[in-house]
Amino acid sequence: MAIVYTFFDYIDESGANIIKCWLNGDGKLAKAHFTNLIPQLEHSTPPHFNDTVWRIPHYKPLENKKGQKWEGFAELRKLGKIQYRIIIQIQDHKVFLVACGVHKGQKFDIDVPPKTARLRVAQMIANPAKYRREHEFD
Amino acid sequence: MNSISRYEQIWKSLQDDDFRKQFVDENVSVGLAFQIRALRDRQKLKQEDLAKKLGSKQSLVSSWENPNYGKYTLGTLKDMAEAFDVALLVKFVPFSTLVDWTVNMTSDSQAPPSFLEEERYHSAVSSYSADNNPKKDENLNTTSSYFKVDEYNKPQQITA
Repeated sequence: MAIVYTFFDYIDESGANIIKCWLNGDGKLAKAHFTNLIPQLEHSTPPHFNDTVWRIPHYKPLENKKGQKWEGFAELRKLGKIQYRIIIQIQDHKVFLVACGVHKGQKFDIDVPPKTARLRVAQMIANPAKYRREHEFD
Repeated sequence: MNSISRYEQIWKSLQDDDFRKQFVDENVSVGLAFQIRALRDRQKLKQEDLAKKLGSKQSLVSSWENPNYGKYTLGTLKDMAEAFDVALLVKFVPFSTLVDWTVNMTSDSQAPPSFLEEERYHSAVSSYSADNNPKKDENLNTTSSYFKVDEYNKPQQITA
């Protein structure tokens, strides 16, 4: 069976892959997890189907919290004492990886606000050659 | 399309000792969790059904399907293989093999057929072959067909 979903990383103005940078920096301890998780999800049935593998605990739709409007976004997660998360938005069969975050104790730090995440998705759609690259595993 | 292949990208990451160790660990944890879920779906079993087959609890099945769990014992895996009626392969392999499996993953490789499914498929193809080409089938040296069950995919009919 062919790949159902294609994962795209956000590329910033300087040409840097921000997801790859995070996975080799603050998110280094989660890199092996996402390297194994993403290929599994690529072949899976769509979210919201009955028999979906897009589900808690490794996937969770985000909710609006403390005035931050994250509706429409979701997170891929590695759980543990420190939780590592990649913020995504799914459109058709494309998964846009736009931000990263670490959840330690009660504190959840996403590196950008929802407004920036939305802008990134819009850029990835409007100018794919500049702002997105198929997920890189190195 | 990336300029270097996914295989090469993962291979590059494996140069890091910590990543290499974690990659093996996560491959087992994430891979088994998704396989158990996929096999259960293929066989149309609820978590409760699988738990009953194994004399276990639904909550434990839920844990096994959690990619963050990772505390499987060989005994549990053997019991699960028996419950799903599939084979279990536990072996040490070179990293190149592990990367190859990760890169070439398919839905079918996640949920292999049970022995019964394989047997039905085998019988159907054998029967079709005998009905349509009885003379050739008698001459096994030139046109015999057999099944090769590759490690992670469905049985494939091979015509020799």
